[in-house]
Amino acid sequence: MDAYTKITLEADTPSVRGFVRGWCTARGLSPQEQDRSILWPEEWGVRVTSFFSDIAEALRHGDVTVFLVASDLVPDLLAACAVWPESLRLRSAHTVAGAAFDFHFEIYDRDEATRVQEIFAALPAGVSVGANYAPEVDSHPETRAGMYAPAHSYVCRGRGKIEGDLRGVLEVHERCRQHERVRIEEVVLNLGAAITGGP
Amino acid sequence: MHTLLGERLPLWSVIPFAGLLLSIAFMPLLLSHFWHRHYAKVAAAWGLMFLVPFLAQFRAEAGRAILTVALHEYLPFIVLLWSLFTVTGGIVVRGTMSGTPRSNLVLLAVGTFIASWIGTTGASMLLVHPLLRGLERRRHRAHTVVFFIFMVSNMGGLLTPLGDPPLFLGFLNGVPFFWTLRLWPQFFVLNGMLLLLFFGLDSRFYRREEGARSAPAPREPLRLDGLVNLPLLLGILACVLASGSVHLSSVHLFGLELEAQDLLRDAALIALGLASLRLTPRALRTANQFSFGPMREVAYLFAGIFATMIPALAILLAGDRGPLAAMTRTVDAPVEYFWITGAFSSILDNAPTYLTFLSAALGEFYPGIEVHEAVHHLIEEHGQVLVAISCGAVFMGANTYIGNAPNFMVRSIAEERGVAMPSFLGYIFRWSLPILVPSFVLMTLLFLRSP
Repeated sequence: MDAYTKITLEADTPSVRGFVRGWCTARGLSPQEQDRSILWPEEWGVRVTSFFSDIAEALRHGDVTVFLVASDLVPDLLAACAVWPESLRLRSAHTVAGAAFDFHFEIYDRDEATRVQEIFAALPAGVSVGANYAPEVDSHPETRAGMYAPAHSYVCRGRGKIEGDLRGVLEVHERCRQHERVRIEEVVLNLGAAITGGP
Repeated sequence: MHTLLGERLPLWSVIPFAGLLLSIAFMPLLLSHFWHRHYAKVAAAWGLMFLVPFLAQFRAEAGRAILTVALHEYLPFIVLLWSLFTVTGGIVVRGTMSGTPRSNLVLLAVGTFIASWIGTTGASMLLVHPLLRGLERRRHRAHTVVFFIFMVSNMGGLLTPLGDPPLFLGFLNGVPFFWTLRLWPQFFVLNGMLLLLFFGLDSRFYRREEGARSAPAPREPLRLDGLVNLPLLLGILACVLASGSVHLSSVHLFGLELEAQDLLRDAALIALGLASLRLTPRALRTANQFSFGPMREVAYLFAGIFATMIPALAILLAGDRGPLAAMTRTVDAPVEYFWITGAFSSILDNAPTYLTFLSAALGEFYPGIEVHEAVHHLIEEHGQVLVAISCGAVFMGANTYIGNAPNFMVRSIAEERGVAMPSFLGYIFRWSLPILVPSFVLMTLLFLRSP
């Protein structure tokens, strides 16, 4: 399983993105390897801040960028950032022990419900769905959508929590995102130990 | 007769009318399974709650009032809706649209225009399936269905009495068939604005989806099946038009005077609907997921509505002489009629709302005068009031899912195709309030300001 580290730099996001892209290219990482090794939270629906930290940031002067890096790249990346301490100051770095997100769905088409349930029945290794996940099906074949009585002949409902290894959780999150009627919350990280290595 | 009743009926006799409209509005949201199984009984209960004491108190006069509503309004109303629903339900639009902003815009524009000629329900049922097929590869879809509800299911129905049930009720009460065509400036300004807004929004979503869209499915050219129904649709239009233009003799039935052209019209509409059932292959109706369920709903619910509406309309038509004199005096400017008709149409079905406020206007300006004659005078002397009531009822049915019959049906069909439609409150606060209400304010400023 891939291990990741959450890194927070005191720098604006375009500069950090440009720096990280250049650094990866210089290391000989292909675009696919870069996409796998560097995860930008806004692209993956990952929540990296809390309400209170957002308030604190709003009161502080300066920009902050948070991103996730494959752990085997972290020491070298932090060393590279340390070359420009005024532009890329390390605020914090923590290992990512796991991730989780909540979901719920209400689906009115039998085939789509089958496809959605297959997502939760075939989870990647290291990922599980909470024990309270128990989809319910309500089927009334005689019911049709009417003009004044908007009922459905088939309803499949479910809710639960996906948790486990970050990579696997993100994969499930992305698969859920393909189905509009599956409502997914942001992925929340479970952080591990802090890493030192900044300037 | 109505005004005599309106002076003698107590105000509380309208409680079943209000109760039924509120049941139709809120029970599907709060008690959807109960409502789906028992809506007919609920409508019957409210209807009997008025009819039994009404007949007991007013006897022959009540019987006559009920028969008048049944034969002059309810039956023609149901027959027209049934014939339009049956004939348009035999037409299938096959093929795939590309789902691009341009093709969605064209579909919305076409649907908006034809809604005035085949009814908002017919246009919605005809075009919602090709719309959703075209959207299958799109990531953002709900906004297109919302604008479809705004325009095809509501505002497109403004130009003829066939377009929206309230306007047909106006026609039955004496509004000339072509009168609504003079609302073309309002029709084009409002729908033009919404089309532009939709195109900008859809284009923005389309650009954002670049790279995330699934590969296009093999395109199947668009075509219409069930073309035998097109002349039948023209036949419906011709029958309704003729009944408003031709005056034959009167017929006496159950003590009532009925116009022969109206009876012939209704018989012809039934014949056209039956012809459609006979001539359309069953496979086409299956492709449209056609069933008479929605028509049964309309028949039962509107039987209750027309019955319970008797006291409300009678009291309003009595004007100053009835218990709602204060209300008829309070609302008199066109802009007030527009917003109050619209506000009620947003949460109650727009057909009875239209009739209620038309009656209020007639009671205010021409109390005691026979309805058809009063409507004629209203058009001649206070035409802007009728403009306001018509626009308010038709336009603002789009404000909520419960404002007009096709809204819920389109939403349900979209949900069954996997579209994440906004919730009841989400539709209001994210879509109709920020988009429609400012549009209606603009319409007020452009068309309804006092001179």
